[in-house]
Amino acid sequence: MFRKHLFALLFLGLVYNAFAQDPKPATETPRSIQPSIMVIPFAKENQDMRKVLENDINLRVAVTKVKEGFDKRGFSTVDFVAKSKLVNNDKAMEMNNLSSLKQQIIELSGADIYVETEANVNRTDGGNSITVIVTAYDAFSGLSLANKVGNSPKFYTDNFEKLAEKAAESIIEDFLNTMQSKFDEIVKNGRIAALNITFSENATTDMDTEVGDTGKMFSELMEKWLEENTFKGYFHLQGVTATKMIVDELRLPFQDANGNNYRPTKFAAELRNYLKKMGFESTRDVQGSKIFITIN
Amino acid sequence: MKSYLPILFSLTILLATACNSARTISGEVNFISAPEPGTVLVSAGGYGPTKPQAISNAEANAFSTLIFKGIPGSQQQLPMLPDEATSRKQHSAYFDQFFKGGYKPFMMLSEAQSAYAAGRKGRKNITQRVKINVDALRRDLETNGITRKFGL
Repeated sequence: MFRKHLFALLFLGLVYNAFAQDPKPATETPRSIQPSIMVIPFAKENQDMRKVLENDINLRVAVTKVKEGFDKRGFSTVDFVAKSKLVNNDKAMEMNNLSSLKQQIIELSGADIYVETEANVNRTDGGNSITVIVTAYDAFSGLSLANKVGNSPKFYTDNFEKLAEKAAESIIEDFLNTMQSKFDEIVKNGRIAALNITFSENATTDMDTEVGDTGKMFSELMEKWLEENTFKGYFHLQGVTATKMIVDELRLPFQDANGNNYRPTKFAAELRNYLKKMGFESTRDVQGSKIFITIN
Repeated sequence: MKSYLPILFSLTILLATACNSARTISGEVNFISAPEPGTVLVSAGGYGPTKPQAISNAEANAFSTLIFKGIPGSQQQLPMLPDEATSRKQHSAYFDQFFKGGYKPFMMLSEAQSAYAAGRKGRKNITQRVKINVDALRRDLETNGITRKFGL
């Protein structure tokens, strides 16, 4: 009797071990296309960003600490100094508008997100400190992704570089965690993009034109198409005139039906195909996540 | 009398296993400081019928709060995994092992902040100071596919 129970127990033990498996190792899913991020120094309207950075050691320390934060997370950023060398300062001077230099650098960098960093010295009778302000924006829609203000402790010291380091360290993890929460939201609720629809000079149509037998205006057809083709029908119409439709925010699926990255260029192609079916020729221009459609 | 014994025995076993205080997740985790970049020092309350169990409960609470709730006042205000129920269900094998002691490689310090004593409701508890290597924990969660790496 005892032997019977013993064999039963041994058998059960063998069966359990045969079926008990180590947890399957996490299967690696294909890495999604990552946004490019550039850390830039804060500069006022009439200031040259590169000169501001070169003249301010505290700001350089703060920018470096922010970049280091991204590096620690395994994320490489676009180097601002390297990119700014591509912009011809003389050209900017000829344009007599230094404030456009920042925009040129941002546009030429190809960065999707820029992280603006500022470092301000505070001298008081109770000690010196540095305030670091870090702000992340989507380069094309202007949407804010994360904002943090960090203060170093006060010390009776003129070693502001060390204070800048402390101030940046006090916020960088929280800043990156906030950015990541926005990325998680994008994965869940779709990529953010923007869309401008305009008409060429030779176009015989405008937003108020009734299209064929539909009985609907061109703008109404566009709105219907956006409802059906944006992620969860989400788009925000900033404004419509006879000659222009501005969608300052719309959501695109993060991936297409085949699990591939869904790019703004794909969305633009789908819109052009629709317009063609409706009898309208168009051209498209895509800058990052901003789509420009021109009806001919 | 003899016929009641099996029922009484079964009821006793049932009640004993129902009162599993080791799984109690308490909100008694407070930020103390961030001694070095990438680490966090917290005070965490834990309950248990024995001192070692209460200490383990406190340590598990510290990690659970960091991972699923966030720690106000620290740089980890946001949870690493916002949806606790879904995460625990999807990665049950990982978290079962983790909270049974798998967190120890990421725990740099665990020392008593209070004595092991009965609290207000008579339950014995202890408060531990727990220092966690957040960077290493994050990398482990990423390596095991529990969280995504930074980015999309």
